[in-house]
Amino acid sequence: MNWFSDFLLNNLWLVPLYPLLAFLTIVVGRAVQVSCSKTGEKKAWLPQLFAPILTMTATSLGLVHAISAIQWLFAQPHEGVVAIERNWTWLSAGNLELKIGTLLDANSVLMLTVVTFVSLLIQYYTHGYMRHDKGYAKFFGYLALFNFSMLGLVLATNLPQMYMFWELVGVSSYLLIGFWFHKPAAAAASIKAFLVNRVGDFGFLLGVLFLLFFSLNWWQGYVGLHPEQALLSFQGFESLAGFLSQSLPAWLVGTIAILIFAGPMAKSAQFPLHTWLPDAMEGPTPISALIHAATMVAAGVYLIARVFPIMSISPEMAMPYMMWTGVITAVVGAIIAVSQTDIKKALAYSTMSQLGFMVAAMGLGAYTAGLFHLFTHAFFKAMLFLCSGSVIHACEDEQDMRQMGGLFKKLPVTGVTYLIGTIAISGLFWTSGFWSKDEILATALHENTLVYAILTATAGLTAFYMFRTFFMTFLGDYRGKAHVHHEDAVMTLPLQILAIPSILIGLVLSGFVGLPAFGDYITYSLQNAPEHHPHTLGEAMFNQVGNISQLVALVGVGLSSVFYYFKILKTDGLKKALAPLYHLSHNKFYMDDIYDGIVEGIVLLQSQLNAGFDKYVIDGFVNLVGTLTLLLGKWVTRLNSGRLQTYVATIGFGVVGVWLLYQWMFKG
Amino acid sequence: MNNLLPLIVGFPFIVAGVFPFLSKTDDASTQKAHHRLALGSSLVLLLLTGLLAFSPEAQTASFNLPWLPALGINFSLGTDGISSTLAMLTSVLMVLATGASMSTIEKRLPLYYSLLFVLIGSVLGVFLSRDLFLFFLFFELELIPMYLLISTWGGPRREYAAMKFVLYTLFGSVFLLASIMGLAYFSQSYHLPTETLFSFTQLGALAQSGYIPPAFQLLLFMGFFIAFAVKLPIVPLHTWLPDAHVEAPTPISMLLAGILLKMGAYGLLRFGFDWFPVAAQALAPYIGVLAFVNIVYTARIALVQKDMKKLIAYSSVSHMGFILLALVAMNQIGAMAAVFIMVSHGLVSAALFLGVGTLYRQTHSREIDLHGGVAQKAPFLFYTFLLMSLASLGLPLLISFAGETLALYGAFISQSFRAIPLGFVTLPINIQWITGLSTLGVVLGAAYSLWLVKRVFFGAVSPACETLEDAKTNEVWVLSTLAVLVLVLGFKPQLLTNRFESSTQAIGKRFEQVLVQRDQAILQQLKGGLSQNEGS
Repeated sequence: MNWFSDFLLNNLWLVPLYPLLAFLTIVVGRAVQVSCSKTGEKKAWLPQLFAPILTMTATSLGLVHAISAIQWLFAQPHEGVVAIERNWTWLSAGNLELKIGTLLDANSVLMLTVVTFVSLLIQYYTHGYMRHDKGYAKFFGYLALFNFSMLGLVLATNLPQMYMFWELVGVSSYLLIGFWFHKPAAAAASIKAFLVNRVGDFGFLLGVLFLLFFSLNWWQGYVGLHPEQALLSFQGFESLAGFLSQSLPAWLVGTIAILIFAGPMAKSAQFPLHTWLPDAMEGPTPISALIHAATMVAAGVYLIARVFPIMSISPEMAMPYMMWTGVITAVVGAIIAVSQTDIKKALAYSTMSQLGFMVAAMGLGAYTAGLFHLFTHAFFKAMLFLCSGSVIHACEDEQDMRQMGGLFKKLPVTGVTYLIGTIAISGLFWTSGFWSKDEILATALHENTLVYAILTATAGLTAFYMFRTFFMTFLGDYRGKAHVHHEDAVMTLPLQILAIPSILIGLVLSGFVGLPAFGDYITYSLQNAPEHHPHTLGEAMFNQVGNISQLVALVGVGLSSVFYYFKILKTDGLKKALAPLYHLSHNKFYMDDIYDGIVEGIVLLQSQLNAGFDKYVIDGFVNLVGTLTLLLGKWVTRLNSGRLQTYVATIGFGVVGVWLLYQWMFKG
Repeated sequence: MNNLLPLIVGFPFIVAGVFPFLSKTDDASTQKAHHRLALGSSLVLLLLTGLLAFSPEAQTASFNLPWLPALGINFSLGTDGISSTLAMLTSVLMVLATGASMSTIEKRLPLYYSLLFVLIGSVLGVFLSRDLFLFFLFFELELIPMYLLISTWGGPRREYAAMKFVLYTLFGSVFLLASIMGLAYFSQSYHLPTETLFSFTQLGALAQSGYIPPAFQLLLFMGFFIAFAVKLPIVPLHTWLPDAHVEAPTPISMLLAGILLKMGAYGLLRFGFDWFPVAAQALAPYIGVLAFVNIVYTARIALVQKDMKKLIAYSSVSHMGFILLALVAMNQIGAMAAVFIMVSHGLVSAALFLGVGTLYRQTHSREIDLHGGVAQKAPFLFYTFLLMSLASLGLPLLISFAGETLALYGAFISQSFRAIPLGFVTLPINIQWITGLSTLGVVLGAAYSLWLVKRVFFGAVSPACETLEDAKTNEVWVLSTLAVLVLVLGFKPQLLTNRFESSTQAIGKRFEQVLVQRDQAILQQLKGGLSQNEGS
């Protein structure tokens, strides 16, 4: 079997290629089917059958590669992983050579596993969720397109390649959010998602340009790299960071790092570029689970991990900036989540808040803790979203939690898995969320007590709002009007599978069960790993942090049950007591209104002014010249009158005029 | 292979000469025959151009015939990577425009096709001329069929638009002619061989040699620049373009955006920047500002247009700004980016105009607000239009991305100017700043493209679109061809860059040399100043 795993590892380029082929086949197949169906819709079942099979086969093949990659990683010596990198030239111009390739190291193994595993489960789930939708086959096509882009991003060897696939996942997300484009809300959400991401990518692109500008000569003369390695290859980033920190002033390095960070800010929904994520819930629920919870939004954190050397050489600017962005995002997301009544919106703000935790971890220097949280979060948040999909499906597309309640009896599997997810995200009882979140908190305590306090409080708030959604949806009495269906076996199987890593993956990779800790795997591939691993902080401290955070979370659960389960206290009282905060939360910190104001009042207004200038001033001048020429022509025509006196007088004046001019120019 | 050149330029004129003798009856079968003949002829033209462009001599072929020896004018044709690429683009778009004509043009077909082939013949002449006078003739000749095509088959305000187009271009041509004459004057005053007075090699060598006094270099450059600035177009000489596009019939819009604008870009690259790099370098700060204005100002105007065709027309101007930015970078990457964008924009804008044309054919309106929910009615049109919009906004792995990235990167690493002197004050804005600000065009491009898609294709079906049908077979073929090209060349841009890389490299090296010489001169001056200070 050795040759087989060698084949799998050496041909990682196949991983994104499978879904691309699936996508193209589905597109062409659909086109052929549509042109055939003009004569009669006989073969409608064909794409219905082939689209899911193709897409899921493609993802499964990717998963096979991922499994062999995990084996490869486990077999690596602990002193250092020798990454496998392959590159192909995509475009060369002058001294610029852009390459596309595949990089296999601990980071990409991690993401590869998450993406293929979660994708496969969600694709299976999709079969249950979208079976009756008109665009069933198309949906699988889009899913394949997304997998292609995401896997290309995960395996990217260099920053320009990352940027390219970064944009492509953005467009897959755009297509999937706008899947039901006949709904105005979906259409608006899709364009908003793309444009907000473009704003972030504007900074990202500038950052890449800056980086190339300052490092191109160094890079081409850099001997540490294999000649086949690409420009801005991630493997050379540590040396690059060393060079930059010596040759550039700190403010410039910080600016470059912050510019690059603008990309993750948009993609990972960091405040204030987060507003697209809640709106993106207009897309079908499997998409919310896959793209807007587990994989794509985490790509921002993945990018930060990839360019971390650049970030870490700016401890005065980029790191605190990142840290505070993450902290603010975590807090804002949690506060808004408290007042949401739409189950998917609540989960979306929760995603935003958790992404804030990850980014804050990055900003604290807890590189591995951030990735660990990304890893565990992908499982339990995907599961939570899929549960919400199951609920929505059963309640005939009702998303408002005020119209739910008591669903536990009707949907037992969904209810149990949702509860598991809620416990995991609250970080209770040593489930996976506990381990990853507490690594972040432990580092925060070590680095910055204020941040630690804020994040711990936010963790308590997380438990509060997550249990609120659980109580409102599954316990109490049913408040809705829709007839509740039974759960669909196709949809509950992925939930049950995802429940396992949601409970256990944190413990398995915590370093306390004999296996190396998650962070160890990641740091194998770094030559100078950032030394902020919780174990270096001491187990005692780690336990202490864990106990406190569990306590805080339990308080959150308790409060939540007081309001939403036992209903001892009325929420109205709470709303009144915390009126300013409630309004802030309910109106989502007014961010959408502010952006609307900016777009309407500044961008569009200025553009109108520009258009008016173009129409009336520039083109007005052109038309004026035209009109004047015509008038002049008419006037000249009148001179041509045939009257001898006029001609003689003109000649006379002319001669005198020329003579005067001559005198003035040459004699005077 | 060398004899292919006159054949390529001559063939369209022969076809144009045949059409007027065909039956002028307007029944369906005659029309069909006309359409087929035109399509067949343009396919033959494509084959001829393809033979040239994919032959090993695509970089070097030349053909020379003395024409007016007394005046030193030759019928001289030739190719290099840039010319053959653009000739190829022209032929491809001609086939597609003929395909698009099948469902849009219904009256006076013999005249229409006759004019269309004259137009294509003259455009090919422009790209393949190696004699400046011949170039000028073709450059002017193209106006006549274009004027007639717009003013006969155009929309309600066709005569105003056609006249505006012609007058604008003629205004530019005055400067072009003046510069050509000026160059010829210097050629004679240096006693260069008169029988090849207007040949590119001779004039180019003279212009690049630096024997022309700097002030005159500047004047000659400005002459070329203004002429081609009208064609490209560059703000504020652009207002003919939205009008011409709005009034022109669909196939003509495709050609107008696809290749006629490229004549301006081609001229700027070949005569403006390549022949007068010193003058270009001196004016680079101001041209850089114009590039920025082109990109951002027109992108903003595109954002608030209510007319689909106008929106795409303004977006064209915005994309042409990227070409200007690439040129002003004055390096190898910039030169390559400029040619790349010429091709990518040619394909993408043609597809977008055809998409709008397909709607206009049915709803008789270009108003964005009257449309809505088209995606439900015309899925094929929706997907291709979406693909082209994504290409237009520079999505990676679609054709425009490579060009725009190269342009931005080329400009970002450029040394072409470090400040903008304004006589009384010098602004500390270098080309890096201009490039950084121009990157805003990428955001705006996404905004106007996707907003257009949203308003026209998404949402509920509007009353005007109730009876809408999907693209007709000929439109499906044309759009599919363009989609394949956009995907393949986007996936593997080197298929395209290999065609012209050596030519743009040569130009780029000349640019870089000029910049190096300038910097050395500055260094010398500084050193001189230092030693003077030490002396005193």
